[in-house]
Amino acid sequence: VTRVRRAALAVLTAGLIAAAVAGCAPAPGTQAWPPPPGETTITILSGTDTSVSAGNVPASNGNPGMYAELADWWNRYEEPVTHITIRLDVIGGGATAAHGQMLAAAETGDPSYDIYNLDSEWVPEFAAAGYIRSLQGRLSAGGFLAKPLASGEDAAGRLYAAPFTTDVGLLYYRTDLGIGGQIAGLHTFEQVLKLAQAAIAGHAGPGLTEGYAGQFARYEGLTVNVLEIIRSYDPAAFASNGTIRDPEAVAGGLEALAGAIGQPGSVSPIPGTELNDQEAQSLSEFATGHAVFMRNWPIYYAQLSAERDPGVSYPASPTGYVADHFSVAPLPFPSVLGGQDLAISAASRDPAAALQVIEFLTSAPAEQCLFQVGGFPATRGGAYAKGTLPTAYGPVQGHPLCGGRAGDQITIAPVILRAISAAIPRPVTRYYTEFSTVIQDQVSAMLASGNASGVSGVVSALTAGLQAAASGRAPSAPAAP
Amino acid sequence: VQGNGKSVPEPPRPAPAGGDRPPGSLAPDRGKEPDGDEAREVARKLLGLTEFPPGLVAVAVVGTAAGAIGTAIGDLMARDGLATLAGIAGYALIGLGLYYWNAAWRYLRKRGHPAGPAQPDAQVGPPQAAARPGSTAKPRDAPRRVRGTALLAVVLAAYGYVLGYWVIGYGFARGPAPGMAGIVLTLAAGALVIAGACWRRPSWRSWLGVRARTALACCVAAAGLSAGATLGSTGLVPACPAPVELRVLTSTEDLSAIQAAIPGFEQYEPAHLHTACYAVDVTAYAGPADSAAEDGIAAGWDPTALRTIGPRPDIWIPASSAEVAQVSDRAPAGVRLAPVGSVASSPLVVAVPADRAGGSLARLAQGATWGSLYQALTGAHIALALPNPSQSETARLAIAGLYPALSADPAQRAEKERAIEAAGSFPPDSGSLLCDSAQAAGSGSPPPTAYLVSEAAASLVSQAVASSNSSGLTGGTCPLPARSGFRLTAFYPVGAATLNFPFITVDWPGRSAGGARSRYEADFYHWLSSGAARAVLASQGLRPPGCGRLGAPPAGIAAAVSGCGPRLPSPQQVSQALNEFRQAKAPAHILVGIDDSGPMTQYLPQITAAVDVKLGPGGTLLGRADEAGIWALPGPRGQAYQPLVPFGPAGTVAPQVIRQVGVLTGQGHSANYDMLADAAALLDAQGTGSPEPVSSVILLTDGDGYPQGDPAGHTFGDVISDFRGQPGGRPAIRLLIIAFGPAGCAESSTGQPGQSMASLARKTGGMCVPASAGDPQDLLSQLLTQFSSGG
Repeated sequence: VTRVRRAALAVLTAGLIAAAVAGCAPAPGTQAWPPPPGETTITILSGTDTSVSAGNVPASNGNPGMYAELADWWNRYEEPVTHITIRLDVIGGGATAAHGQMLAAAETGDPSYDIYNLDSEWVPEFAAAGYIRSLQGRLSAGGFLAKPLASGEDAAGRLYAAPFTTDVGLLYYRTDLGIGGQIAGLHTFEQVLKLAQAAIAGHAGPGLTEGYAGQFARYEGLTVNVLEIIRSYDPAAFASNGTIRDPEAVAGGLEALAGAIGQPGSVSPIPGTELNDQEAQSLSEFATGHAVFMRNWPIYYAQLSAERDPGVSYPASPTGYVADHFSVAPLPFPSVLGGQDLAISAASRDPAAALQVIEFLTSAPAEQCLFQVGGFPATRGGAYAKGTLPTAYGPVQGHPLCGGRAGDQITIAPVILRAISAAIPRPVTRYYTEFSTVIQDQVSAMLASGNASGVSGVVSALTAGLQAAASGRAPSAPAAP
Repeated sequence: VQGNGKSVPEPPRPAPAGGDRPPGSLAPDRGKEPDGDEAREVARKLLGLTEFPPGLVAVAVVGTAAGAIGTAIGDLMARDGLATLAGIAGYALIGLGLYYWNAAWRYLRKRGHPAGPAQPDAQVGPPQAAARPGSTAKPRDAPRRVRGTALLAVVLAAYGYVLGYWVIGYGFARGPAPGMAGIVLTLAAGALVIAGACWRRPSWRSWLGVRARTALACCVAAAGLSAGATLGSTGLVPACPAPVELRVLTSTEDLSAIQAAIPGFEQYEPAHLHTACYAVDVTAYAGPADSAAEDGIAAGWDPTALRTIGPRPDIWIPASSAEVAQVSDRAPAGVRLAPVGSVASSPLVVAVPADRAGGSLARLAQGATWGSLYQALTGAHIALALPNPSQSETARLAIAGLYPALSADPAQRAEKERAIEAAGSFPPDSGSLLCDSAQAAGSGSPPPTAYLVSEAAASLVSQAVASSNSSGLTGGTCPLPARSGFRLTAFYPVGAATLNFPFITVDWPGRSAGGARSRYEADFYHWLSSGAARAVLASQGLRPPGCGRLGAPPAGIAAAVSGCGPRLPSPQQVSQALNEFRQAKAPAHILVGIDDSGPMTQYLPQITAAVDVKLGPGGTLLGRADEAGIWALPGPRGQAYQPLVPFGPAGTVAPQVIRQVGVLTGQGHSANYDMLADAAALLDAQGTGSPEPVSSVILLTDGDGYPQGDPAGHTFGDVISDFRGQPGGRPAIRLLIIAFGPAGCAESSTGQPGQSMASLARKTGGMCVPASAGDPQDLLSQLLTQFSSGG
C-alpha cells in the first residue's frame, strides 16, 4: 500500500507541475458564419501557378494552368447553382514577392481578398497573427492524407487552412549506371555522395560531371535542401520551433555538404556551379546527362519522361537517352514537405462562400485534376488511383473538369505516396521567414567560402541565430548608423 | 514582489502539521538535538551544521545536484513536453528514494543495526531497504510520514516552480540583469520568510531538524525554482508581433543596390525602436521594365500589374523623378505619390569596351559633348547600343540628350538615328543590355559596340568581371561568364542626365494612411540616407544623391564626375526624342516557329494561349510596319514545317491567329535545322526597304528531334551561316529561342555543349531564354518588345 501511494504521489507531483506548464488551449470559436448573400465573388490571392499540363485543351475559357482551369470550370457550371463567382488574382515575381503581397494585404485588413493560397510554411505566421480564420470543425478532414492535412495547422495543431497541393522531394537517378540496386540501402547524405562518386569513377568520360544535383542557390530551396541533408543524420535535429536540438547532426550535415562542393570546373559530387542552382538548373543538368542523382520535385517527372523516344533506332540525344534511363525513388532520408494550403482571410466579408470554394478546390475531383493533369502531388489519397478523369462535382454532372488525358506522373504515384508518408514538415513556427533567412545567410556564406573547417563556427552562429529567430528576434543588435 | 510575499509564506505552513507529530522512527534523532528557541540556533540547523559534519556536504551535494537536474528538466521542457513529463516523474521518484534511503540509513544506525555488507537488503536496493525496516519497526507511522513528506515536496516544488517561473524566469526573459535581480529577490524573500516563521513558531523547526528532510526540502525547492526559471525565461519571452511588410518597387537600375541595403535596415530598425523584435520586413522587386511599373501605378495596380510585376508597392524608387511627374498625371483618383527625397544617383554614361577606349578616344572620357563623343565613336567604327526607350527611363533620358546633338539638320539627324537603331535589338534596361552583350562576348567576338547605360550597370559589370562572381545585373539573375574579358570604360558626356532615384511613398485608395507603416517608410528612407547604407549602395555602383563621389570605384569608373548634376531633360524634349526614335526604328520581320512534336504536347496549351494573347487581335506588340508569320514544325508528310499563318503584314496576321493556332496537337519529331533553313530562305526573299527591316525567328522548342541529322540534311553550322548576314548582301537574321523541355537552353541534340540551343541563338546575335524563366506569354512579350518596332 505504501509503495502504491508513493508512486501515486510521485505521479501527482509530476502531473501538477506538467499541468501548470501546459495550461489549457482555448477551444476555437465555432459560431456559424452568415450564409452567402446571393450573388458574390470570392477572390483568391495566389502565387504563380506552376502546374504542367498533360496536353489537354483547357476545358473552359482557354486559360492554361490548373488553378485557372478549375476556377473557370466552377464559374461556368457551378456559378449558376451557387451564385458564387471565383476570381483568381495571381502575384508575379516569385514566392517571396507573393508572401510580401499576401502579408501586406492581411496586415492592412484588405477585404478584396477572401482566400489566400499560402505556401504551407506560412500558415503558422498568418494563423498566429489572426490574419486567417480557423477552419477547425468547419472543414471535413476526411479523405486527406495525414501529413498534408497537418500542414494546414498552426503550432498548436489547430486547422487553419485546407491542404490544396502538397510536395515532396524525390531522388531522380540514372538506371544505366548500375546503381539501381543500391538505392534502397541508402540512408544518409554521405552514402548518396559516395555512391555517386563510385558511379562517376566507374563511367569515366566527359558525360558525368556531378553526383548530386540539388538546389544550393541562396533562396528558400537552399533551406529545404539543407534541412533534408541535416535530417539525414537525425530526423529530429531541429525542434518544431526551428531551434537546433542536435548540434552534432547539424555539424555532420554541413560538413558533408561543404566537403562535397568542389571548385568550378572540377569533377566533384557537387560542383561549385551548383551554388547558383535552383530547380530548373538542376533539372537541366540531370536532363543533359551530367548528374548521377537529382533531388527535385515530382512535377519534373513528366517533363523528363516526355522526351522518351521509344520507336527510334538511331542513337538518341542526351536528353532522350536520359529520359530512357532514369527512375525515381523517395529520398533516402526524410524529405521536407512542401505544398500550398487555402486559408480564409479574416477580412473576408463572405467566409461561408469562401469555404464552399475551398471545399471544391480541395475536393476529390479537383485533387485528381491537380495531380493527374497538373502534376502537383495531391492532398487526397484517392487522387493517385488510376481511373477516368472527373466530370462531376456536386450537382453538376457530365462536364470534364480537366480534359481526358492524365500525365506520366501517374506512374510514380506509389513513390510519391511513400515519400509523403516519410516526409517531415518545415519547422512549424510563425517566424519561419526569420528561420529561413538565418539558414540561408549562414549556409550560403559557408558554401561560398569553400571552407569546410569553419563548420563549428557556423553551427554556433546557427544555434544563436535560430534561437533568436524562434521568437522573431534579431540575433544581435547592430550598431546604429 | 508583493505577489512573492504572498506565495512564499505558504510552503512552511504544511510543515508544522508534519512537524507537530514527528514520526516515531525519527524520535531518537530529535532527542539528540539541543533544545533552544534562538533563531540563530535554527539557522545553524538549517544549514546542516550539526555535530555530524558530513551532513553539510551531503546537503550541499544534493542541493547542487537538484539544481542541476532541475535546470536540465527546465531546458528539456522548453524543447519537448513529453520527455519532460517523464523526466519530472523520474526526478520525483529519485528525490523520494533519496529521502527514504537517508531515513533508513539513520534509523538503522541509531537503532544499533549496523548497515553493512552483511545486510542482505542493501543489495536489493535502497528503497526496499528503507521500506522493510520501516515496516517492521513502526508499521503504523510509515504511511503518515510518507504522506507528510510527499505533501511538503509537492507544495514546495509547486511554489518553487511558480516563483521561479514568474519572478526569475520573467526577469531573465527581459535580460540578464532583471533575471539576477529576480534570483536575489527570491532568495532574500525565502530567507526572510523562514526566519520569520522560525521566530514566530519555533516548534516547526524541529521537523526540519532531520538532515534528510532539509536536503529533500532544499532539493525540491531548488528543482522547482530552476525548472520554473528556465521555462519562464523562454516561455515568457513575449511573442514578437508579425513584422510590418513593406513592398518596395524599384527600377532594375537600382534593384540590386536596394536589395543589398535591406538586411541592414531590418537589423537596424529594432535597435532604433529599442525592441528586440524584427519590426519590419522589406520586399524589393522590379517590374520587367520601367514602363511596366509606370503603367501599373497608372492603372491603380490592377490584376495585370499584380501578375506581371508583383506586389502592389508601398514605396516606389524609380530611376528618375521624371517618371513620377509623368505617372502622377495619369494615376487614378485616390492614388497619391509623395516624393520624400533622392536616395542615390547614377549618371548616364557611354560604356566603351576597355580595349577601344584608349588612344584618341581617351581624352573624351569626361567633358566631351554628346555630339563630339558620337562622332568620335563612329570614326572609330564603334556602334552604339541602348536599351529600349519605350521601356527604359535610362534610354529615354539618353536619347533626349543624344538625339538633338546628332545634327541640327532634321534629315541628317534622322539618318544618324536610323543608323543607331539599325541594330534592331533594344533590351528592357541597362542590365539586360550589358548582360546579353557580356554573354555574347563570352562566346564569340561581336562587333565593337559602346553602350548607352547607367553608370551603376557599367560598374556592376566591371565588379563582376574583376571578382568573377555572378553580377548584380538584372537583380542578380545574370550569370556572367568567368573571364569573359568584357571590360568597360565609362565616358561621361557633358550635360548627360543623371538618374536620381527618388523615394516615393504610394498611397492607394482605401489604404489607411499613417500609423506604424508610415513610420517604417520614413525610417527606411532615413536608413538609405545613412552612411552605412550609402556604403552598401556604393558597393552596387550607386553614387550619393547629387552625383557624389564614389570612394573606391572599380576599373573604368571615375571617382568624381565634373559637370554631373541632377539635371533632367524637359518632358517635351523626352517626347520629341521618343517620337524620333519610333520613326527611325526599322520595321521588324518576325517568323514564329512553334514546335509541336510529341514531347511538346504538354506545353502546347500554354503556348497556344500565349500566341493568341500576344499576336492575336488583342496583341499590341507588332507595329504597323512589321510583318510576321507563324509556322508549326514538323509539318505533315515529312515536311519540315506547316505554315499556320502565312507571312504577311502585321494587320493580316492577328485575325488568323486564333483560328489557326488553337488546334495544335503534338506529333512526330521536329527538324529544327531544316525548318530554320527554310525560314531563312523565306525572310531573305522578303524585299528590303529603307530603313532595312530587321529579321528574326522566334522558335518555341525543346530541341531538334533528329540527333543523327535532320531529314533534309541541314545542320547547326548551316543555320549559323544562313542566318549570318553578308556585307552589302542579305541582312542578318536573329534567332530567338524560348527553350521548353527539361534541359532548357542547354539542350543539344548531339550532346556537344558548343551545339546547344543557347550557343545557336547567340551565334546569330540572338538569345535563348528558358521557359522556366516565366510564363510563355511574358517571355514572348519580352522578345517581341525587344526585337520588333511595336512595343
